[in-house]
Amino acid sequence: MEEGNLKNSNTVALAVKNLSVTFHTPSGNVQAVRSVDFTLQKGETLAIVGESGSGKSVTSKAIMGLLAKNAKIDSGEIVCDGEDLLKQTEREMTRIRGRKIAMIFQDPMSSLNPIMRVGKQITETIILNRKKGKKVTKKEAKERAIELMREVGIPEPETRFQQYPFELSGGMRQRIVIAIALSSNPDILICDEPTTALDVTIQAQILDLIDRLKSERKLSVLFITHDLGVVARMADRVAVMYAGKIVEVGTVDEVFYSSRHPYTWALLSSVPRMDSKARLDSIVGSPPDMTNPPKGDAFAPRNPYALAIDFEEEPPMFKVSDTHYVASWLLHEYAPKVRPPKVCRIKRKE
Amino acid sequence: METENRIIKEQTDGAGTRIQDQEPILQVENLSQRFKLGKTFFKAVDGVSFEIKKGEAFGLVGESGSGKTTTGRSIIGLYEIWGGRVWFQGKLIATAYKDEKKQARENVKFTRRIQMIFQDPIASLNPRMTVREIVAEGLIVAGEKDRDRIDEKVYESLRLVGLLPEHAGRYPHEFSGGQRQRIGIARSLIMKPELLIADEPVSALDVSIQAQVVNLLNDLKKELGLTVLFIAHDLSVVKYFCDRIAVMSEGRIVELASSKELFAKPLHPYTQSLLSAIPYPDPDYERGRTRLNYEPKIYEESDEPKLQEVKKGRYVYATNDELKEYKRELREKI
Repeated sequence: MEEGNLKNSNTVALAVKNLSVTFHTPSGNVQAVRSVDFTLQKGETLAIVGESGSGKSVTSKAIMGLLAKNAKIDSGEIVCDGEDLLKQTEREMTRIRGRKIAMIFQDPMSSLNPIMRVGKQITETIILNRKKGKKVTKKEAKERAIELMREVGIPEPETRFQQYPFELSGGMRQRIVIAIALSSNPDILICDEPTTALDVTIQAQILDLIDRLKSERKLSVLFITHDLGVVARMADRVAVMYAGKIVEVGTVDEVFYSSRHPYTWALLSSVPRMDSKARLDSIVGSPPDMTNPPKGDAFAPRNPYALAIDFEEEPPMFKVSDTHYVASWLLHEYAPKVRPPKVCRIKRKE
Repeated sequence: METENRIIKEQTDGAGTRIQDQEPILQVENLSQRFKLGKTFFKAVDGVSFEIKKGEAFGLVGESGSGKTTTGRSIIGLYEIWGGRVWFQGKLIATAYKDEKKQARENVKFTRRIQMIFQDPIASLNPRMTVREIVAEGLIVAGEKDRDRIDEKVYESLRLVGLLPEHAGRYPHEFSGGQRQRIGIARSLIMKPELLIADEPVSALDVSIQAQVVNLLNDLKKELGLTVLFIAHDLSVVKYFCDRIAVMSEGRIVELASSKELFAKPLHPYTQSLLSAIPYPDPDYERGRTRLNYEPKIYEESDEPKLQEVKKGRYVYATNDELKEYKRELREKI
């Protein structure tokens, strides 16, 4: 549906089609992801933005085949290089993870083994992911690891190679995690809130690093975050998620300067701006209970612009431009014209 | 009271920020805090001085390890302080000097008027206590026994933060993150605080919920005339909320100014690098930005830097030569 026939299939790095994921919990079935569609183009950074519980992390874990045991994929396809990842066996997924798609997580301390030297953690992946029939000696693996550590900006890699994760700062640990992710030359890098646990100055360094690696290695990056500042900094395109659905997708400029979904407006207005002291517009209420998602548009109960139909029927994706799609009844030709809040229309003047 | 004030004048040597026209509610003088690290000590806070006026929102900003949280906790007495003194409403409440400790201990009852809210609303609320018990605990510790009066005050506090009296019987796990933070705020308000220390009150919350809590704190500040010490790493939230801001790095205040001045013209290289690192929700602006790296300077022993006044009410950590340079920069700007 979304931009499907427009794009030549060999420019697509990853296509997620109609993905739905449910978690079986004692308090009921949580519909975490509800028919999500998007494509990741080769060489672009697509940011998925949303609040906790919006389904953004579950989507990324579904792509990696890392969902918890109580999760069930109800429908969908995740196509990468002509293969549906959801149809692969665990053994085949092990081959795809790392070599085609790699992922970095929020907390570098918990993605590293605390009692293994960081060097060994890199060489381990290199040896495990070696090409079929090819031998990698320990010495070669070490050379390669040190080269990778240098590439991700770790000073004195020979010394660092011998250290344990606790001896490194948060930023250095995240660099090690990135080095491990890159060790088997993946095409796609999924970053799940990679800088949320870091200080702003360190965050800036890691974001610069991801950007540099992306252009040097021609990576396609799927960037998952709740921070709109980071989205503005990193993304080529943005998908906004709410209650397990993508409600708006467009280029970064379309989403920041001419967004059409009231949820995007609400998100953009609730960020404190450096150049304004006006009262923040908070979103009233809290996100819906996903064991029993509301009928119609899930955002309607919190939406000051909600129409009667929003409580009855789910809005389809309306096309605004070739790159910009919005799921809101406000775009229907019979809908009343609504002006978005000022903050979503203006650019900052410097 | 008078003798105490004289002591500050003698000791701080102009390094604190004194606003003549208004009574400061909190005075922190040369506060130092060290933690044992094996056989050596780690200087978490290294000679920090500042004052907060009544009704002011004062921001303490820095990255992890800068000493901002330790400063807050030392003020409220969660740590015995290593060096310096703290006054609250003119009364000495913490001191590192032996001969004054007895007096500070007697004054500790006044610190009930200082309350704190914490970063993580899950970790800071006892999961086995009901909201009523959590909110009332401070009152009970303070000696209140009348159950009806306790209930009445609990309900009043809950109403102030936008919760309902019927929430009092529930447990923390039944609430969302934003609501839990409201419970934490209700718990501090029941003691009728004069000074609220908010240690990263919104950084664990989602953006839309952050806005709710920041707006609530803003309303409470106005309605109740609260003075707030706001500790955070996020400069955009601090700018939004605070009148004056102190930037901390490696246990020291490196710059102190009104939030307007600080953002318009940051002087210290650390402040500049911190400001340049914040991603701003505006793609056009982000594309044209340059980020500044901060390398801590190594100073010669003869040229010791200290927190010095560059203009009225504005301070920067600098040597005498650097101070001249900063003054020139400020003049050029105007």
